[in-house]
Order: sequence, then C-alpha cells, then structure tokens
Amino acid sequence: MHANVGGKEILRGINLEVRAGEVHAIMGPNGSGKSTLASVLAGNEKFEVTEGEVTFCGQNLLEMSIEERAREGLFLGFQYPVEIPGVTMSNFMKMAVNEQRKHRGLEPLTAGEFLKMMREKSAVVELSSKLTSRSVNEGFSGGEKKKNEIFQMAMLDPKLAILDETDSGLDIDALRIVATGVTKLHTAENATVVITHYQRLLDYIVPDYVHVLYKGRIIHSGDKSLALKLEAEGYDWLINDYQ
Amino acid sequence: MPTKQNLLDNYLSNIDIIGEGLPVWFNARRSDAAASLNLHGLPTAKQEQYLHSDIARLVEGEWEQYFVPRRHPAPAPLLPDAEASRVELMNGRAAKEGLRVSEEGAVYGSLRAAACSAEYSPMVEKWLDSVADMGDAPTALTRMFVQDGAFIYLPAGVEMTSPILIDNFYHADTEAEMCFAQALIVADEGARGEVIVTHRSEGEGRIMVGFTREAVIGSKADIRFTELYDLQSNCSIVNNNYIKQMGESHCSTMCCKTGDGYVRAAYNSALTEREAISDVWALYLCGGEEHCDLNLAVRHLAPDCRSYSLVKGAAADMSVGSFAGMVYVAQDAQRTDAQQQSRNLLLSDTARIYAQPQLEIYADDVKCTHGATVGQLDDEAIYYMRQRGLSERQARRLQIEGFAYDVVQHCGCENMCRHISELTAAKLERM
Repeated sequence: MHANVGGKEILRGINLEVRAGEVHAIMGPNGSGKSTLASVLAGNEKFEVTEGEVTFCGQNLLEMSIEERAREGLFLGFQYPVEIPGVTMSNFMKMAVNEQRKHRGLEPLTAGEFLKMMREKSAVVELSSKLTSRSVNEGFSGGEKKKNEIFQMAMLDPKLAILDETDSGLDIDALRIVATGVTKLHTAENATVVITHYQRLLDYIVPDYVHVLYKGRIIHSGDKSLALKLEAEGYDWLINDYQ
Repeated sequence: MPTKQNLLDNYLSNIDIIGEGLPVWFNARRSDAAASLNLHGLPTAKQEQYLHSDIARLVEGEWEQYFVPRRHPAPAPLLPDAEASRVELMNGRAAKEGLRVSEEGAVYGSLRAAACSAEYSPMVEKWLDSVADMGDAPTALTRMFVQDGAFIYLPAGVEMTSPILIDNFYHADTEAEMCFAQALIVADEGARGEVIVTHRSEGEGRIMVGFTREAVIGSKADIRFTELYDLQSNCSIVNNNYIKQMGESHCSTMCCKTGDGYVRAAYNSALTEREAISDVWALYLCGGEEHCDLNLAVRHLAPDCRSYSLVKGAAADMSVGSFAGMVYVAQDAQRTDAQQQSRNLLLSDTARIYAQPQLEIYADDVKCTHGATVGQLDDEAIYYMRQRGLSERQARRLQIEGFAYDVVQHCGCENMCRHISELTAAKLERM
C-alpha cells in the first residue's frame, strides 16, 4: 500500500498481514511513517491512498468511511487524544457504543447497563470514575488521556486495535497500568498493532511479530527478540543493510 | 417615514381604548413615549446600535393590533405547577387577572393589576420606566402601546425556593399581528430568587413582539434570570432588558435562542452602587435565513463592581448572528473588574457573524478584558469522534452541543435546563 499527504509519498509499499489472536509491534525511527500507517488505516481524510489495497475481515477497508471502519471493529488509540470541550465522556461513549451496537443489529444499552459497563471497563485501566463525567480529555493529564484511550478500547471491544504510541509520555506506573490493560483485552478473536519507540512497552504487551518501518516501507520483521536487539543496538545496522 | 407615522396614527386613533382602565400616570407616560418615538423615529441599520437589525424594515407593512383581550388556545405548560409560580401572557396580556402571593411571600401576576392595585400602584409608578431608556425607539414603541405584562415583587429577605416563570405565548391565526408587553421585577434588600422568561409562538400568522423588561435589584439581593427564545420562524421579537443593581447585589442572566424566529435582544445592566456583580451568559443558534442580534451593555457606575459576560453563537446556512458588547466604566468606578467574551462558530461559507466588543473606560484603576473569536468546528475532534463510530453529522452535532453547554449549564432550574438542552438538540437537528 502506498499513501500520500499533501502530494508527498509517505508510505511507499507496505505489506502486512495481521491475523486474529496476534499482536504486532511496529517500530522505526522518527518520520518513518508509523503514525501515517495508523491514520491511513483509520481513514483519516488528510491522507490519500495511491496504490494497493487493504482487506479487513474480508471487506475492502479503503472503501469505507471513518465511522464504518470503526463500527466494523477497527480502533485507533490516538497518539494525541483530542480534547472536546462540553462533551462528557459518558455521553460520548454512550453514543459510540450504541452506534456500534446498532451496526451489529443489537438494541441500545439501557442507562443501567451502560453505567455498569462504564464501571467495569474503567476498572481495566484504573481510570477514576470522576473522569468519565468530565468533558472528553479536557484537563486530563497525559497519563489520564492514554488510559482514557484504552478505556474506550475496552468499551468498544474492537477486532483490531491500532495503538499509536500509547506509551509516550507515560510514567512507569501509568505505563504498567495501560499496558496491562491492553493485555487483559487481548483474546484469540482480536488483534493488536502497537506502534512504539520503546522496548519497555513490549515487556508487558508481548508481540508475536516486530516490524521495522523505515522511509515508508517495512524493512525487517522478526519476533520479540528483534525489539531487544533494537533497544541495544539502534536502527543503524538495519538501515545500513537496507541501503 | 410612513411606518412611524402609521404607528403613531394607530396610537392616536385608539388612544382611549388603549389606556382604558389604567391609571392616569400610566397613560401620561404612554404619550411621553409616543413623543419620544416621534422625535427619534424607528432605528434603521444606519444607527450604530441597530447596525445589524433594521427595525424600521421589520415593522413595515400591514399589521393588526388588538387593544381588547382576545381568546387564544392555551399552550402546554412548560414546567409542572409544583415547580414554578407562573405568570402566563398571551400576546402580551395576562391570562389570569390579579396578583398572587407565593408561599415564600413573593407577589406575582399581571402588570396591569399591579398598576391598578391600591397596594402596588405606588411601587409600579415609582419603578416602571425608571430603568428603561425611552430614547431607544423600540422601548418607546412598546411603552406607547403596552396594556399589560408581568409584575414580580420580592419583598426584603424573601428567598424563593422555586422559580417564577413568565411564560409568553404569541399566537396569530392568519393575519399579521403586532403585540407588546412589559415586565417589572422589583427585588428588595436581600431577596433571592430565579425568574424564567420564555417566549413561544404558534399559528400561521406573522407576529411582531415588542417586549421591555425592567428589573430593580436591591442591595444584597441575588436574582437569576433565564430567558428562552423558542419562537417559530414567522414570529419576531425585539426585546429590551434593563437591569438596575444596588450595592452588593448579584444578578445573573442566561439567555438562549433555540427557536427559528427573528431575535433582537438587548441586555443593559447598570451597576449603580459598590460591589454589585453582574453575570451574563448568552447562546444563539441560527440556521436557514435566521437572524439573531444580541446587544450587551454593562455600565459600571460605582467602584468595586464586577461583571462577566460570555456570548456564544453558531450560524449555519445563510443565517446572520451578531453580538455587540459594551462595557462602560465611569470615572469614579475604580477597581472595576469586567470581562466580556464572545465565542462564535461559523458553520457555513454563506453564514455571517458580526462581533463587536467595546470598552469605554474613564477610571484609571480597572481590570477590563474583552475578546471575540469566530471559528469553525474542530476537524480533529470530528475525526476522533468518527473513529469511535459516530457519523459525521452526529460528531458535528455533539461538538456544537458541547459548545452550547458552557451557556446552557447556567440555568438554575434543573427541568428548565433539560428543556433547553432538548430544544438545543432539536435546533441542531434542523440546522
């Protein structure tokens, strides 16, 4: 798959297959296209896919709107979660959960069922229930914002979660809580793609595959030991090989 | 100018019936108002204060005016009886005659009844027209024709446990009708209460409403106003509010335009004694070819007073939203703390928003800030919400609802707050 932003080619031929039950980690130096890959898969309209195809559970992902992708079970954990003043987390999540349920032919949740679900899922990432009554991400600390992303992931139970640098800006405790939360949500039926700079996250979220992205291409793939090697040696040996 | 002349002719030919049953002083001021209108004429868009509301054009054409009470279909009540004391006005006329007294001791009812009652006539004579500016032509026009309205009196120390609702209902079957009403609210020292003023309309005929509300807030009194404009597209209102605050009083106003009708509203507060506080929150939502023009003026006339205002507006389609704010600080109003903010959302390329914040400061030890912004919806937030499964329309709506919430949350009455939120949501569906 190839993708452009503002006429500049950022993704220059990505080939990747993620099966149910798998965890993939995508690493790579700054500017290699990791976040672009996440945005393109989520359907961000700033990016234009110029070549290639993306199949999601047998369907052509690129033909779907942002919300259709979400309702089909694709979740993006944002690197920079957006603040939405005046919109409470609970109201936002209620709409999101019920839209997704409607898409699956399910009845909307009752107020009681929804509250119970909020309580259960906020416990996954130890998110204070006070935060769920506040405006979306407004006045949240960096750690709270990232916990809030995983809380939303728990609420929406996606088939594929793409977590874009969910570990950035987290202290050691918050990192553990967020990463443990992601692990708890992992099942044989869903898949997770984590984009990260640091091996430390992968101590908790153990990947089946580690890919290295460089200049818009996956230049190397391996198992979890690759992450350890990258941590110790950096990217130069791979980049030199590639060049 | 033919329109002004038509109005004055109509007044002169009906002068006896208009003033029938009202005290001499009440009618004498009516003719003062007519003289003022004759002198000033109806404002056009050439006048600074009416830059975005051409009142002369608004009242042009053929209008019916009725000077005897008529029957109108009764609207559904806005709040349950147990939750509010109510004054219902139908095309400006009180639906129930006389005055009532709430459990807490507040007096409320028809302005006409108050002006005619032995007990309250002196109070009405003293305060009515004392706060309003008769140099303002629409205020003079309303005063010239007014026959009734609402009267509320909170004696010293009275603390209301539930709001008083002035429920204005405008109705015209087929013909175009012009109607007028005035409200007087007097709160004595230390009184506390909430007054909700609603404007609703029904019927196929066009309606033009002239409304003037005066409030005198005694020292240490705390009064909260909520005003709702929920008018149909064929109903226009020109509403002038005048508030006079005494020392250490607090007055807050929250107003929302969620209906489709033309709204020109002015909120004028005069802080006449030390340590008075004024808060104003306003919201307008405009779609189609609607028009909303809000004028806010706070006059700091004494030291150590504080005022805050936040006006939020969203304009879609071909609509026009306008805000003009003025903070005036007199020479001896030292240590004034005034803040004036206007935040606007432009939702289409063809909508227009005008924001005109102004300061006029004659004291040297003051803290005054003002600001106005006009922006668009946050695309990142819409993307974020869509990524969670909301449609683009839902995401846009939710964001505007969030934008409006800053204002809506300031309604003190929980049921009214819910009602306004529902009207806001319904309005956004139509936009």
